[in-house]
Amino acid sequence: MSTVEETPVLIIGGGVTGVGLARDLTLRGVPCTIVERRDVNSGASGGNHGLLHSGCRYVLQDVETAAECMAENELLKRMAAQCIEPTGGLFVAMNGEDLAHAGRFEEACAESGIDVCRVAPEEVLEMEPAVGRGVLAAYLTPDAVVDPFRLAFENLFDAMAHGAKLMCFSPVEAMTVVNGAIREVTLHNPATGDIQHIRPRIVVNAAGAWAGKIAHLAGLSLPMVYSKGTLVISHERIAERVLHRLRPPADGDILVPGGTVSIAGTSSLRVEEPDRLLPTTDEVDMLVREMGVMVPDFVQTRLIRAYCGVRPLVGTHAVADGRSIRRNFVLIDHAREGIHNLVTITGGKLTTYRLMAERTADLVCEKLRHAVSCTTGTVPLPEHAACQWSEPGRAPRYWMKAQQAGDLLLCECEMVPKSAIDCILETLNTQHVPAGLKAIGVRSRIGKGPCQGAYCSVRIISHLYDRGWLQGRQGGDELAAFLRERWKGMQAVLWGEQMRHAELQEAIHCGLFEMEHPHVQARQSTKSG
Amino acid sequence: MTNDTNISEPYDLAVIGTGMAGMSAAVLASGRGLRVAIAGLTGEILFSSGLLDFLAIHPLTEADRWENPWAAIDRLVHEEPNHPYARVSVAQMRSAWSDLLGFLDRWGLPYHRRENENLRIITSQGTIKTSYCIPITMSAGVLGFERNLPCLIVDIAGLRGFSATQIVQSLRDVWPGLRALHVVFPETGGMGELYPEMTARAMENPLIRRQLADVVRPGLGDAKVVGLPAILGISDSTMVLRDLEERLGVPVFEIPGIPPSVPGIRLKETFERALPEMGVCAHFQHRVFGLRTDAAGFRLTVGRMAPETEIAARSVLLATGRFFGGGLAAERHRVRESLLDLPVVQPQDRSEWHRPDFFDTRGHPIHRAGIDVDAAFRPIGPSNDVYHPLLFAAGSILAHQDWIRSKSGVGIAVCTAYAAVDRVVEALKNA
Repeated sequence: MSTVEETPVLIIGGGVTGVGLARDLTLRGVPCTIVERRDVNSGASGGNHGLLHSGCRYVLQDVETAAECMAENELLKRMAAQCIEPTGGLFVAMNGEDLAHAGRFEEACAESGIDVCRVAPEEVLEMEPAVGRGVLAAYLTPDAVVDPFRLAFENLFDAMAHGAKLMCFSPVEAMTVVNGAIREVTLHNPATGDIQHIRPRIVVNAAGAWAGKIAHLAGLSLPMVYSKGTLVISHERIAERVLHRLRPPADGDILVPGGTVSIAGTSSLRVEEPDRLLPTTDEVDMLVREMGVMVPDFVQTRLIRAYCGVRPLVGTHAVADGRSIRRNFVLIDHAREGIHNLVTITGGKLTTYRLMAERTADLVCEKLRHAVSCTTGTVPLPEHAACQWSEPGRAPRYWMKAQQAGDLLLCECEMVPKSAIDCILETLNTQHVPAGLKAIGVRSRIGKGPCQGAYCSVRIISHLYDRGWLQGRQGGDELAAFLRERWKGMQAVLWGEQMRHAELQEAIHCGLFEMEHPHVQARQSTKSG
Repeated sequence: MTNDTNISEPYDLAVIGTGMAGMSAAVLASGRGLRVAIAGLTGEILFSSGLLDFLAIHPLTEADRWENPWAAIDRLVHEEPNHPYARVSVAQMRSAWSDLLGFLDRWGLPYHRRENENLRIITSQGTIKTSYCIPITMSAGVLGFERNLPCLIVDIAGLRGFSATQIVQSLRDVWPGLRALHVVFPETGGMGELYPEMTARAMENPLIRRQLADVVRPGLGDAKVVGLPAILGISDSTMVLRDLEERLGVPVFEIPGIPPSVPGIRLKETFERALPEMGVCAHFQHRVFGLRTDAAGFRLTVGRMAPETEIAARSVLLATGRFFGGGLAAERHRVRESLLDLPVVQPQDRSEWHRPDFFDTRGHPIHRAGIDVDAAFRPIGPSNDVYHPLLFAAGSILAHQDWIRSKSGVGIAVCTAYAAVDRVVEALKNA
């Protein structure tokens, strides 16, 4: 199939920046189309801590980023409250650490306009019993927790309500540049073979870590540095607040609570390519060791998953680990390189996604000579029913309250009922996302509990057949793809109880269902002796 | 169940572990006239699929299943001389199977096999599983599949993870004669959740069976055989099966599904009922807290939550399983044998335990970790010295095998248990 479509603005990248930009533009009355090579938040937007920074992390080396974070933190708590758990943060300097950083911290926060409050070490133990003894200094900060998936989907649904289109699984294959402008963008879905041509007036490259590759398709050079960050998820919530080492930013110094779990991170490793990255056992061991300095019991904590994201940093290749590149965002008007209708927005942080979208939309509107101002700073993000299922603890509350007859739980770890799955499935078609486990997983908590999908995946597949979403042998392929994806996060944290789970999962899916040799399932063959 | 705390006469053999290997060993040893005690947490046997695999895949990367498991074993033991099967003779294997199947038959849980052939049955996922012995309640499915008979697959409202439509759709190319039927289980509204075990127990009531037959019958059409989830009773599944077949007028079979499942419960209950009656001193649901040796032999400390009882025994068989069973414990930097910290053959580093692709057909190296034994099934260290002349090991805790990928779980459990019991008998005679 091959089609041609026109759109005023084509946004490449369905991360939080891309969908945030779509909302910003459509609220200004500018229709747009988002194209995404995989699913929403499949890059760094889905591979981070879920931390709504206060800016405190950056006060001593990047004042501009710190101030931006603080302003956006304060704004989003009001405008996107449903996506945020205002836990507060606690920055602690531990025994043996250089106190020079801590000594200047309070003053630097004040200069960046961040309210922090000093607490005595003995109070820290009362507030957060998980923190080890030997606290030298501690500050309460306005850090908070944000659900990046809910945030992206709320933005997306509001943008779509205002005329945005989303096309997932539509990677950009080529761009045609004529007379200093991108005339046509070709999308090619390798799974279906569909080819689409889009004729945009403006193209925004919001492809995150892949921004350099997109720029290359337009014949431009945009050197990127890829910094891989690995995080681990604990089986239980360890602290009430965001815990943060009070020291210059380094590996393994942040512990973010999220519903019933905690997330520790991150590592920072310079990598050559942003694709096919897996968390490694070395990275996990480093995180456990580093986190153990602030939270001693962390070395015994049961971890259920590790995952990684790639920080998109625009810069030179000379930097070793990516920590020292500034974390603020980059907005590039490629007119100066001869392409008048291409803009790149990359870098930045989840916390500043809205500001990045606003600045980008300002530039796009200027190019379109469309003089309407941004309203995302004053119009709260509406709540959409299909967005609620990614929030930890949301499904159980709903299920207990609703108690509809026949609404069986399909995922027991996270208590996700049939009705939640059906609600999500209804929205997939408009996003060009095929119904399946991975898509449901991005939009809900399924597979995120201790069983990591071993049980719920099987039940959901059966349900999808019963509802007519799957035919033929699709279910087996779906299940295998989902288990492979979950495995990426499991393989580096398999010891203790999780090893038992993994062994059972393999006994079920390989021992009983014999899924490791799928092609034999399609034909009847045995080897005679 | 006995609770003798001060036995003057030690048992001939104490079996530690109540999975397939431990239970079989107790049955076999008791049958050889030994005085046997057994202790362990029986929970894990519930997770058995109820299918008794022998060997279907070798080498692991070769997808074709072996039709004749004995031929597969012959090749395996030549290629992998360290494999536990290489320490068991073919005669021992044949006796192991006939003893186990004879035992299960005598205690009301008959199994079906073709002595020199693996069987192929469909699963709840709509895949095909190769196994050696299957419960009699599943046997009609083998013929139905082989002959592509018109077949009705029935699913039940509220039993999650079992969709007749899924099975029919997934298998439509290899078994085109399948049709799906969705029914509400008798005396349920069809809205709530059903648990397989409760449903199976309900099937022991003739009234429920009559009502179920009444809702299935109108859907039969030309079906020559009917497949159901594994819910055909617990304690007398043969009777439930025959009664339902009579009411429907066609053969009926169960389709194995995700554990914990009813066929696993049947195995557990059969062993738990039989062993005490056979005179085995059984400490089910008991943990073994410690094992020490003295001049007289071994002393095991067992109890539920805390140590309660001591068992004295002349010999010990360790059949504690792997990670899921608790015989092996994975720490962050090494794999440890849980009870005695016996040497464990294992990869150097955790980064080598698993492969990046879950379904990598070579299998994950960690699954070949385990206890190394000598020819007499006695745990040995790196320099081949035995830990104790009367300490034996059997089952999945043994190194150099991947029971999941090769489809050989129960076979390894039963055959090594048999061979180890042979060695125990021999050693006690000489002691």
